[in-house]
Amino acid sequence: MPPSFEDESFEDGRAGRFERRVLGPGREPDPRYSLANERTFLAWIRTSLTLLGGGVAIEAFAGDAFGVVARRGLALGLVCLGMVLAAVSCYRWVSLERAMRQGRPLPLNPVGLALAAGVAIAAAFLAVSIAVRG
Amino acid sequence: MGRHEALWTGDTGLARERTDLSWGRTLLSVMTVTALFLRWLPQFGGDVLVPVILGIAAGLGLVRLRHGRRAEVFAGHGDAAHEVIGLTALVLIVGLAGLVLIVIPI
Repeated sequence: MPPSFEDESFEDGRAGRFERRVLGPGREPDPRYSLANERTFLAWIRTSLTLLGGGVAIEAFAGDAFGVVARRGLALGLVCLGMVLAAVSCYRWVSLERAMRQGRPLPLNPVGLALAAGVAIAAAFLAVSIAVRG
Repeated sequence: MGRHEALWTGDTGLARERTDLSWGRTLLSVMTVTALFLRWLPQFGGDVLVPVILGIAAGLGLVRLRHGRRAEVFAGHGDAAHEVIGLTALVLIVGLAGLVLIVIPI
């Protein structure tokens, strides 16, 4: 059973104005849960960076492996997906932190489904491009 | 026993270590992605260095911010609002730079 932190509320003035604005009212959760939330956010950000890097690498290194339109389309799609994923992962970190501070159940994560759909579409697009060219 | 000592009693410190490693991996990823932009150096010249330098500088800034927060985490204050929002902004800027470099030849 983790220790209680009910004495550590925002009202004690330890949190800065920025944290109050971002995280809203509530009591500080067990920092181990906050660290777990932070690591989850970082894992999502690395996923978004992988998509960004993939998009940039396709445009920078693919050369004539497939058509210009397909190459640019795929690169733009992956970079856009990566940017959306980065923004959503930040929003999710804030949502989870707020839920923990207010003692609410943690919200569900719809991001995984959107990511799977986006990657599947990109892979299908790539496969069709290679097949058409070949 | 102080509050923060009671908090970490029986804790191995591995959660904090995993979080530090996770930040390190992420910042290395940022630097790797921005380094890919160097491929466009012959085509676009020195402008390409802007996101690369930005990525490295922001990565080092986040390392410093993170280092300054270790004592706060140990004292039981766990939020990382500045780092999380700063890193998200950095990734969005890198993505935007990528979009611009991909779109410019069109």
